[in-house]
Amino acid sequence: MSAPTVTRPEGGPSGSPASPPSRLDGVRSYATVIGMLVVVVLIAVARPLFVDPRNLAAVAVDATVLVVLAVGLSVLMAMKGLDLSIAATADLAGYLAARALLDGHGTATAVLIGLAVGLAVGVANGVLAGYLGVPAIVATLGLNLVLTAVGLVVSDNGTPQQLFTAPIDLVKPMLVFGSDSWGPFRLLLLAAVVVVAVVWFATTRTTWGRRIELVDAGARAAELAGTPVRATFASGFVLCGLLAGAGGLMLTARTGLAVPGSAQPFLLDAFTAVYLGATASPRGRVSVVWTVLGAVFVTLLANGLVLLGLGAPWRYGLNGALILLALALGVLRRRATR
Amino acid sequence: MAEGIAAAVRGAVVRFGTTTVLHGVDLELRAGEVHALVGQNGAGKSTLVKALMGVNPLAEGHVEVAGSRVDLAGPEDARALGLEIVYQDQPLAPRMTVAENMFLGREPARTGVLDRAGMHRRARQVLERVGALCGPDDVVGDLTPTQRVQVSIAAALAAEPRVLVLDEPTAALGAAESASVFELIRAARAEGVAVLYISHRLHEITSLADRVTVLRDGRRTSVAPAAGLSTQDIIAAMVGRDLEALFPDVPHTPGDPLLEVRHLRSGELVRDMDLSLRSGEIVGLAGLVGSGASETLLALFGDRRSTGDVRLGGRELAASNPRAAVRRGVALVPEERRTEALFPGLSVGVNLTASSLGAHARGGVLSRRRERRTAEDLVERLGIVPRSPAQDVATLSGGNQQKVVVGRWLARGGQLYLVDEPTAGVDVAAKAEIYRHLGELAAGGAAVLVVSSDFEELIGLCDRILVVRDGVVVEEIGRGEVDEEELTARAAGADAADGDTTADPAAPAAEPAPRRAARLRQIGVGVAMLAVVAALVAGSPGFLLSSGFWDVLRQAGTPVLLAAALTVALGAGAFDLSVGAVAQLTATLSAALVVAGVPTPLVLAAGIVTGVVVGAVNGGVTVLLRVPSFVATLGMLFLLVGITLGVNGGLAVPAETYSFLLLGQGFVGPVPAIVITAGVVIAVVALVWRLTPTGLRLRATGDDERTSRLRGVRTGWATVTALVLSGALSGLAGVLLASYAGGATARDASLELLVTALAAAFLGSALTRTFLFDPATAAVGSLFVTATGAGLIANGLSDEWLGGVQGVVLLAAVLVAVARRRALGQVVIF
Repeated sequence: MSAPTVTRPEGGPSGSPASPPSRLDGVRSYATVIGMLVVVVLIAVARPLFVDPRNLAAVAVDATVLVVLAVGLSVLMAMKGLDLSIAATADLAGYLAARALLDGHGTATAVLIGLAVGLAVGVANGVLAGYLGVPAIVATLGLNLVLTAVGLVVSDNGTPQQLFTAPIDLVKPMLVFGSDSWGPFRLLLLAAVVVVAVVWFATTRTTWGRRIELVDAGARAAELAGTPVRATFASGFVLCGLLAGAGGLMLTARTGLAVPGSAQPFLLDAFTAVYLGATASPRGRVSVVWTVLGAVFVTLLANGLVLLGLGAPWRYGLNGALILLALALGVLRRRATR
Repeated sequence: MAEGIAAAVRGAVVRFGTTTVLHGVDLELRAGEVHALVGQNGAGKSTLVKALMGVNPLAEGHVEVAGSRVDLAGPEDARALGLEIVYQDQPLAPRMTVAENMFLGREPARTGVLDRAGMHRRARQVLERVGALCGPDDVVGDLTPTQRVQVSIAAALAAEPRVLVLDEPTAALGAAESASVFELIRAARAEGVAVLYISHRLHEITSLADRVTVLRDGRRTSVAPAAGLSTQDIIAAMVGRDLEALFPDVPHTPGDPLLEVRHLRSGELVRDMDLSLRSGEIVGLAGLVGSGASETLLALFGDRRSTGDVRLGGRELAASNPRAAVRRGVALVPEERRTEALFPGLSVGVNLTASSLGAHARGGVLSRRRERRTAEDLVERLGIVPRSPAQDVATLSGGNQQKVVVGRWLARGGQLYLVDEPTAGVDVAAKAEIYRHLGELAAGGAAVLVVSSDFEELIGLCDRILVVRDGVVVEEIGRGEVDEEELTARAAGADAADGDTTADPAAPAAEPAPRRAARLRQIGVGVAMLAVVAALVAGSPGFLLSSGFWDVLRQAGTPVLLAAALTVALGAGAFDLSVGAVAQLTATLSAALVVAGVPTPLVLAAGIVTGVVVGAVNGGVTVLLRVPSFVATLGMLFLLVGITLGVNGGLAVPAETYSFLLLGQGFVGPVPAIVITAGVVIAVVALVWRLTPTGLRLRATGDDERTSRLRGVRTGWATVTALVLSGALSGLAGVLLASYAGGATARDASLELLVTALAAAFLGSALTRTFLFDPATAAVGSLFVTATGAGLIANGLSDEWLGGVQGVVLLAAVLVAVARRRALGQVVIF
């Protein structure tokens, strides 16, 4: 991964920070980044294999699905939205796409089906939370259960769809996307980079991105300033859903397998990535680039835990603790500035 | 120490950050005396009162009560010493009853149980004494503004206070209603109460007060007996500067008619507004709070639903939302600058271009160059200090912030400017500049409609003033025709009170319509639930009739407890996402303990204690770190899932000890033990919730945190208490789950358990009169969700759908609860 560049989501006309960060702000940001580095170094010392280039390359590919999911979530969370249904969406999208492939409908149709699932979920969430006023957390939690149930039903209680045992002409493009490279770069990695670049540009350089900032800074003020607040809020869910669908497709392509429930761990990871990224960012705000950093760290940590022989309980436990830690650090900043 | 001084503030200095708001103010309140406190907006009246009430800490100086110096750590200390206050905006918990609001913070209780009969009786007495037209059991949210004032004063008087502070109590009232308030104040004075009375209506003061203290710019400019004072004297002490210099003369000439408004109606406050504006004209709307003047601006801007004929430039302006109004060239400078106009945390430049993004972008991509040019131009033209457009707007002074808000519309260019309280919280120098900018807008051909509670401002600024009373324009006044006092009198309708012909004023509400609608909704939801269950029974009678009945109840044991747990948290304003995870953890733990041979009572205790500990951590993190409870408990949810996995190693844990299984599978006669346990626990929780002071405080905190805090409820403790209780109930639910299922499953069901509880909690709230969360109705909701699930499976639905059904029920239940308000579904994330 390239070194994270510090971006200012709203840049201000002169491109300089809106306000000089207080000293504590800097301490918190550095402390978080340094803390991440320390963790990485410690794992590397304990298990040198961890920093082996081949392992790191594998981690980078591993991280792609999480990056795409977390980036979608970060756009939504940048305006106080929230989506607990991304993992279930990714599962369903990946599963239905895989089945379409195996049924011989072709790659294009399969991809469209995957994205359509994401779009439909995003629209449903957007209407519920943006227009009907259901708190985002409740709306997406409800939809999460509905999607999980649908996933179980369409898969006949979780029967996997295996791409790698299927006739190669049916599934080749998908598997190529999941495992092949363009020059030195894995295609999955390139896809993730493209997604990040597009979303970064959209959130920092367009009127849509600016409206998201306005809705975040004050929904009421944005309404009275003539901003289409509901539409903007809903659009975040749509993007989040679409990217969840895309993430599901990438996961299926990478593993060559679609099993309902396999994307579930990404929900927690995505949250941790967004929170850690926001805590580490100099301005303490949710932003696309810092979310990517958070996602890479979370993936590194999971990989390190596996190398250390520590299983799923540690992963859950550490992620939960990291969210609480990020909060505690975030609060230091808030107290310092208010 | 002089005789009869009930309370005093001596040498009070109050600072907010680096700004000093009060510079050493003295105030003495004598028993049996009405003391008036007057001053302009921003003179420091509210700050002084809050210092007296222990809300604002004093940087220097102190408060005395009954001659001895006291330290007030918060409003509860002030109340304990007999100081009562009725705030201007009458903070009352809107979804609770009149009686509950009146006694919040000092609930009468006998052996830990609320004395409800006593509360009811006492409330009725005081309400009668106040002459209020409402009963102790009415819900505050359904009351009219007048009734709210009466309830607030009644609540203060019910405490039999030593000092009664009234912060503009009549601001929302007409002359007739105000008269009854004056009677109350005189009666209180006769009983020896020291009354501190704050008002903008000077004629009230000269007729009511015994002594008058005048504040200006945070200093006391005079204190004198009211008897010798004329309103002119008071105004001189309040204003103390040359008005001419404040209102720069910007020549502007009215042109063609621009805005024509006929029969505008909106809500209860805007009843029938007629007005017209020419381009190049500044017109003021003079009305007291509640007159409908501010609401008229919002209605014209499309922010309030309205009917009537509104034409802008000859074409109909049917603005259904602010966006539509902005497109037609209408601009609004809202009343609440901080929350309604500014984007704190964003730069001045972003704030300036917020309404004209389209003009600063090509194809949706922002042009930094254009934005910078606009921002620099406006900063220069408006004289915004500091001069950098990159500055965070929140760091600017009030006056400069207001210039930014005006500048935002200059960047867009409009033809009609609706300006609400243009100079609230703005220092004198910036005021003059803002007046000049408004004048220049008119000179440039725009029409400006100004609402202000500062009538001096209207007189100095406007070409014409329209007096608004009870949502109607009653009179038009030209420039220079009246002075501030006269305008105040006309806005209050003091002279015209007997000639008042407007529609029936505050008709004594018989059975308020909202109450009937609530009943219908309660019954409707109940009937709908019964209908669903009946349909399922018709399809497959066995699942609920005969033996199936107890099965469903047994199955409901755990969900009912979890629903109650979540309800307690939600009802106290905390979102506990960890209930399912706690249950999952204690189920696993207790199964493991049983396997290890631990006796059943200890297992039970361990489960509950685990829940309590988790709840205490949740509460501690939420309150101490001041993070939203939902994030704290989300982190906890994940943490617990990890710990559970660590305990069971990803495998199911069977628990087969007979005594343990009795908890969840035993019977007492025909009744399953788990049903008895759950029933008793729910009954206890529901009684605590409804009938104890603690329950009342938890409910009040959940309903309106700020009001509760002002009434002396320690809301932080309320949050911790609720989360601990929620944890304990979840822990118990988990133990019962393990016993009922003969062990703990490997599969993590935290989210399913949570969603079921959420659905039950919201269904339950839809069954209550005011959408309050209540453990008993949540239990009913939970029974329904369980029965529906069992019924659907009995009717041939596959298990896989069960979670989906719960999700759908949750969404349906929440939609019923939120349909009326339709706020944005935002969640506080940090």
